[in-house]
Amino acid sequence: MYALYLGLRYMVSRPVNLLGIGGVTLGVWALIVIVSIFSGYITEVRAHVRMASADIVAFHLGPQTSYASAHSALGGDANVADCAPRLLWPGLIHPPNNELADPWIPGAAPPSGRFVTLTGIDPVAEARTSGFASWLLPGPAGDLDPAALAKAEDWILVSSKIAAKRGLSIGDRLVVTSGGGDALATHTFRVAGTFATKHTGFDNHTVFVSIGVLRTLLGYGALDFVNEIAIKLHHVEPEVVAQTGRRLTLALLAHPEFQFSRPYVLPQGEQERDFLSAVDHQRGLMKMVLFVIMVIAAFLVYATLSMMVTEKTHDIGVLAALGATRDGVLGVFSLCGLAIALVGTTLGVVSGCLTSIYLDDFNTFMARHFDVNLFPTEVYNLPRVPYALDPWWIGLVAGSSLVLCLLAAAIPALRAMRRDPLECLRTE
Amino acid sequence: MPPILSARNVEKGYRLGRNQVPVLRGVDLDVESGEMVALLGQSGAGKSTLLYLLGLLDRPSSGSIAFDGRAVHDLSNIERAELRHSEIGFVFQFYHLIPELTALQNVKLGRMMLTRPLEYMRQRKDIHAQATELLTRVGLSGRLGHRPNELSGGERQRVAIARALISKPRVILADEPTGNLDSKTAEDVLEILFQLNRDQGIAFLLVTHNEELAARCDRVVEMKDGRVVG
Ligand SMILES: Nc1ncnc2c1ncn2[C@@H]1O[C@H](COP(=O)(O)OP(=O)(O)O)[C@@H](O)[C@H]1O
Ligand SMILES: [Mg+2]
Repeated sequence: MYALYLGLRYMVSRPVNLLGIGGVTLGVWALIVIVSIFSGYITEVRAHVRMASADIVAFHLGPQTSYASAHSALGGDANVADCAPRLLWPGLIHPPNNELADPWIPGAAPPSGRFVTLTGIDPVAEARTSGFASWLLPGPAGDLDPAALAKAEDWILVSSKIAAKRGLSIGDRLVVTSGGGDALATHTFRVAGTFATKHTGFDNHTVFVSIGVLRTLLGYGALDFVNEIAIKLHHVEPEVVAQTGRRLTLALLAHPEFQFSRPYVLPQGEQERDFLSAVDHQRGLMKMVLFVIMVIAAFLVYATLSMMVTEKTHDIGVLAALGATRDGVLGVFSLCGLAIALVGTTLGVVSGCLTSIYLDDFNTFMARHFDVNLFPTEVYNLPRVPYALDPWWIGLVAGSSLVLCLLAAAIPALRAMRRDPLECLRTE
Repeated sequence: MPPILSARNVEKGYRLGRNQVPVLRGVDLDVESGEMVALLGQSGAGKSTLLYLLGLLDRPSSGSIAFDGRAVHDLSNIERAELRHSEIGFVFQFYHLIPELTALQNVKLGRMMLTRPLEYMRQRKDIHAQATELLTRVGLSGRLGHRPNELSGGERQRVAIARALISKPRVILADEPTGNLDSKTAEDVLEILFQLNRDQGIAFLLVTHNEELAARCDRVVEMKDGRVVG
């Protein structure tokens, strides 16, 4: 009992222990908050990418792939629920009155415009296959209906971002230049509506048009060319998706049409993989840097306990005289270290979780009242400060903090145990 | 009835570098149950060393120590710690209270040495009452919540006595308990010790330089150069 009692008493009655407790709290807090923001960012971006894409997409189909033959190669797979044709082509959208002169006048000032990815789709098939229908924003005339779009001709859908930046509203005329090889062509579309996914990269460059109109613009006429196919799957567990992707890639490669191209079928998010793994890598570096704080905290615990053992010479002697064993003396100081570690870790975990959860409110508060933007969400294209509290990570942080502090406390505690109580009594 | 503590031909030496420095050179001493023995001797005579050996804090180089007729010098460390706790009390010249604990907590600490936390929690009201009673008996009822640095030397020594008493020892080893006190305070503290000896039959081995005080004890033992000389 005395070991527990004295250990706790020593902890609460010696202000210098606040140093150790504070260090441990800070280390645990930082490890939880910073890593939770990183994790939250990764999770959020991943979710946004997933939302803006079909389950899986066939890419690099080659410039002149027939949808019918690609579909026949893919449609047989048991996990494929539906497919939608896509034709992606770079194009320029022009501000009003700054269109490419037709015919082209040599020496004329080149038209200004903005590069976009013209994405030719079949609205009905697309709505069945990807989240397309949910991306469409209601206009003044109510919700947009993919089926109604399919019946119309010269519609174009721009993202709300592009619309805002270009000052486009529904019903506006929009001139687009595109073409293959050296043949450029312009076409005038009417803005039929706007859309928004949460994937900013996608929204920044995508406009949707009718795949038939785009084929005509590119000079393919009535041929059913596609260069991407969006695919909806029955089973979407990550491993199953990866397996299906490999299977579908092989199915395409086996098809005679693709013998000169390199098609592959991948979840669209794979394209963001490099970026996300860079963030992930930064998270790993951050963990290492923050771990150094933990080590410093453990060193503080070691230093304060060492000081205490030196000061406590008389106490060690008197404990022995009262009937303490050496294990008991070891216990007093280890339990004091453990108490410091437990209090510091608990405070760190609680404050870390609370900080993560309320960081967004705090950020908003600071921005509103003090004009200080701690975490500029616009820069990261996020609606709020992200966080993801991973119980496993919290457990790991708490556990390693305890182990580290106990190791740090063990050294002075062992030193106390080895002291000769008689010498402790004789020391003045 | 066997003596409560007895030393037979006890020798003790300390190693200093390569040399063995003899401190006790064959000491024979008995303290009978309920007896008050004064131990006189010049500084360096080996009085404290003998006290630590009798109090089972140290082991003799040779010879034997018996507690209540039972040889105890070669018991295990844990057995010696238990015996030290339950049968022997210590009082030191420099009080040796724990500075972080109040008077009351210092006394209670004497009851925590062998109890497990749960057991202690069950008995804590009892222990609290006992500690309060002991402090009252040594005249400190108004100082229960004071830390050692808020107490005078005499008060500190009285807390130390109460701490020694709480485990109900049969013998108390006091190493110059009044060596650091002015004569008036010393008298008060000694009065407490004599009273404990009279009323409760606790045996005392009292190291002192004060011959007048020694004369008031049941018996006087004098040490010189590691030997008992009378
Ligand atoms: N740990 C030790 N190492 C070496 N010599 C010691 C040690 N402890 C005590 N001594 C020596 O033993 C002798 C007796 O000491 P002590 O028992 O404290 O005497 P007293 O209490 O009678 O003044 C002294 O000369 C002291 O220097
Ligand atoms: Mg001495």
